[in-house]
Amino acid sequence: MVLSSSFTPRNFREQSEKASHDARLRAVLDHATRYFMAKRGAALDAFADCEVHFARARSARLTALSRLPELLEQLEQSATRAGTQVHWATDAAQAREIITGIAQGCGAQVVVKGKSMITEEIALNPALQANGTEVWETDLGEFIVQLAGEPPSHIIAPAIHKSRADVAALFREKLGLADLDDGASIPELTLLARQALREKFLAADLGVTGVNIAVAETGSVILVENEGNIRMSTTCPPVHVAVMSLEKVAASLEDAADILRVLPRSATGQKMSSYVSVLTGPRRVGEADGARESHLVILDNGRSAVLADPLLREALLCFRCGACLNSCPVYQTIGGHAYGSVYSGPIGALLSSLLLPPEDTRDLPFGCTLCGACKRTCPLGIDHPKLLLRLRERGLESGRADSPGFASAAHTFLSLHPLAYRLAVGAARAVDPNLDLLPRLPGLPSGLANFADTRQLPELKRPFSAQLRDNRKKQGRKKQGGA
Amino acid sequence: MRIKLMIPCLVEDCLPEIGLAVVSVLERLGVGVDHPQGQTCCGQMAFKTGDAAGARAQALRSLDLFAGTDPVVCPSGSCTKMLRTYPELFPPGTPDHARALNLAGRVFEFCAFVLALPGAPDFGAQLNARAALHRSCQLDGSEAPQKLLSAVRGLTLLEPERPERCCGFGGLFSLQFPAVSESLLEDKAHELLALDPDILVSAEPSCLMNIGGYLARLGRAGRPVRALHAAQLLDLALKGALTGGASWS
Amino acid sequence: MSRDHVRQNILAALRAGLAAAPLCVPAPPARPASLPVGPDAWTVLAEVLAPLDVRLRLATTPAEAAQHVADIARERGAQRYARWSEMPAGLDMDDALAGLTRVTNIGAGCCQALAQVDLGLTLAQAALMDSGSLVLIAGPGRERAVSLLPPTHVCLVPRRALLPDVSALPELLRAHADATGQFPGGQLPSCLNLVTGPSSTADIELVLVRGVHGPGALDIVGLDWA
Repeated sequence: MVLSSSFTPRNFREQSEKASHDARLRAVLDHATRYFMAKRGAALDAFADCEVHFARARSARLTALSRLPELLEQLEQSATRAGTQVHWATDAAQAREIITGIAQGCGAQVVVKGKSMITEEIALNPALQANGTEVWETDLGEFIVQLAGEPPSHIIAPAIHKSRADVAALFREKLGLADLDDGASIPELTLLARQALREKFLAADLGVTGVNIAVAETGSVILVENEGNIRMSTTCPPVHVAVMSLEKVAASLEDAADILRVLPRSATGQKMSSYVSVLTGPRRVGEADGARESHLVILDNGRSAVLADPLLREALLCFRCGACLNSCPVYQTIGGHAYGSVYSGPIGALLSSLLLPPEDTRDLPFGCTLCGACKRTCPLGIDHPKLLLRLRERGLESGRADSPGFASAAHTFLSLHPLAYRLAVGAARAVDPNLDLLPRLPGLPSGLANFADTRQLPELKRPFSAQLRDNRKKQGRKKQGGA
Repeated sequence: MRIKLMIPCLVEDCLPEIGLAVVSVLERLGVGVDHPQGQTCCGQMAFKTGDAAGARAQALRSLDLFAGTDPVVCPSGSCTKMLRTYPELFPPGTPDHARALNLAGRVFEFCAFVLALPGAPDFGAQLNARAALHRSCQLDGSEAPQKLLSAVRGLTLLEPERPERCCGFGGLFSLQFPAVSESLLEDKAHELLALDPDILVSAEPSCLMNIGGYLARLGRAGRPVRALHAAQLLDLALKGALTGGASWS
Repeated sequence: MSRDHVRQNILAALRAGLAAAPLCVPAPPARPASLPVGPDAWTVLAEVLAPLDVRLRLATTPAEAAQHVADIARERGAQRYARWSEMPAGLDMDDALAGLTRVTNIGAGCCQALAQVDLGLTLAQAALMDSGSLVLIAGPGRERAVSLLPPTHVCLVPRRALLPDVSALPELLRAHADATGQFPGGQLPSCLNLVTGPSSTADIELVLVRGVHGPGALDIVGLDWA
């Protein structure tokens, strides 16, 4: 997952720390996450039989994983019958090759794109642009971050970190609108984007989108949105390429409907998104619009390896509602960029750790307090904390986790040797009962000193066991009688 | 009835008053308390850093220490949770797994245990004070502390705007991600102070140390906030009932 | 690596993964019964649509329906319109909108043509009560762009088209399947659009704005006799 910026998963810790000092970012995130959580909460409170619908959606996703190879074959067959050209890609490079090949094949000079994490994952845009093709992100938030040269900071609201004034300045500079005032209203700015992008939709040779659900039974691709840019991208240009990660399949239309019952509510608190497109092949004879040529790219990029792990495969259930992000206190503080990858928040920490090289994702599983808010929020019941713990274990097993090492290992050793433990604590209490010096010893994690600076630590006192023994002796009884 | 008391490592050496309050409350309510010697750690630190072998070794010690059939009571949600997680550390079908299942089935967080005693939730406890409750994410949504403390006469029990939001401790998280941890702690402290409490109360010692320690550093002109475990508050309030009422001065 | 090789390798990897650790899927709970479409359906629908800023006007006769559409066109200041070719029997839409220019012969350059149109008029195959969603199925004379490019979209919804919720969609889709295909009954239509409210975004500071790419105004005329 190549990013068009300097954020990398490797620098997650540093990026997180920096983000928490950014007061403006924190204010924006606070506002946005509360907004989404409130809307979602209201929608779910009003959603009769909510838990049952969640269970059915989970079942639809589990079914898909349990029959994945068979369903993908069926998808290929039914999509082909409908006139779609199906392509398979092992990794990002192959996917880029296929898509740039299609673009060259149709002489594409202008490409319009719907919001698609998978196309970010494979770094598609630079590959298309390298061939001299104009690539336009058309989701308003994605359009904004594209103009700004930044990655999206949130699954649902990619430009949430930008203020109205930021956007005005950006449009003024990048869209050549010299007269555009910093005081331009949000509806005005939106209209400007609509006008600018409409030109592109009408001129586009190729539309590229992701896939929310691919229906194996019918060969259909389902796309969910609020703006209409995905409909535009799949209606106006003569060629449509849909890119899907291979786990995005549903066995049947019924399973797809069960997912649609839940996804918009969990994502934005809407009963249904403004536009849901169910596309099955290119336009039929006699139809005046819609793509004439339809492609589906099925991408692996590390997922088949994940499917083999009986615990970690649960991460593949995700249907990208973004609720875990909004509920995560860490995400609420640091935002999406800090994760250094297109996938952020609890599910992002999981996916990046599973799909990227281990040495790049060492710290991701540790950026979590294990509070469980994500797990409680997830409509599909993904147990993020459990999976993150398993990743911590894997990190230790392969010898790559370094930082928790010393403090934890020392404590573990001592706790298995109670005499040594008591001696160590006794010595510490004798020397530094107020814990003024010990946390600041060189060689210990610097976080300890910081902890001691920001919190008044309790002193090391006469141990509970000793005090209880004394009390009981004083009371002259060995044991308190029970009922 | 008799129970075995499990004391978190933090309580043993830094917050022994919590343990003493637990014993005091339980004995006052007619429960016999045994305290197995040689306890060190439940294993959650090892477990959470991914050291399954270390966690397993500590679990085996705990399985020995708490062998038997007595209920095990612990004044920490996170330690209780860890003990309930022991079965995951052993292959199903093995004797250790069976022992772990057995232990997991009889381990109780302190507030939940007290709530299940005859006479609960109103034991006649009395304390005039304003207490802000931190629910602690480690209690997995348990309502027990809130139910128990609501029954204390004279106590105004208050909850912050986001009662279940993590205080940012997360064990080693606070050391590895200090600024993020502090941001969450700041948010939590802000919400709690907005309630203008006399007492900060929680059923989780680590959260108490985290938030209480921060509030102590922060200072508050005029009225410091005293951080108490639910057991300590209840102990005070039960004693208060005997002496004809207790007020927070 | 040949294309087929890639495909085989991916499928083989997936099969191996599942063989090593089979995934058991417990039977899900039964789908909760959908709320039936009752005699107060229009009222219920209007309530669901209100928060979406969609107004439902009810017509008990074709003439009334025509008048509603004319009213909407006037309110929106529409001068050029386009519509799906098939309209309900007895509804002379061209007469009702005689004061406007109808854009026909869309054919090639469909989107370009419809970008010049102020109002698009469609006839829904179905409408979902639970969410207030319109079901529009593309076909000859039923262009997708009619409900997408013009700033105002007016949709006629016959009474019999009302369905409870999205769980009714699979059956509906199958009913529309083309008999020449191989899908049980036939090939699915190339495009089904579920339209719920106007186009909207809150991407800038979470401030809701209507009409970012699709229509900013959506009006519905309920055909009570149909």
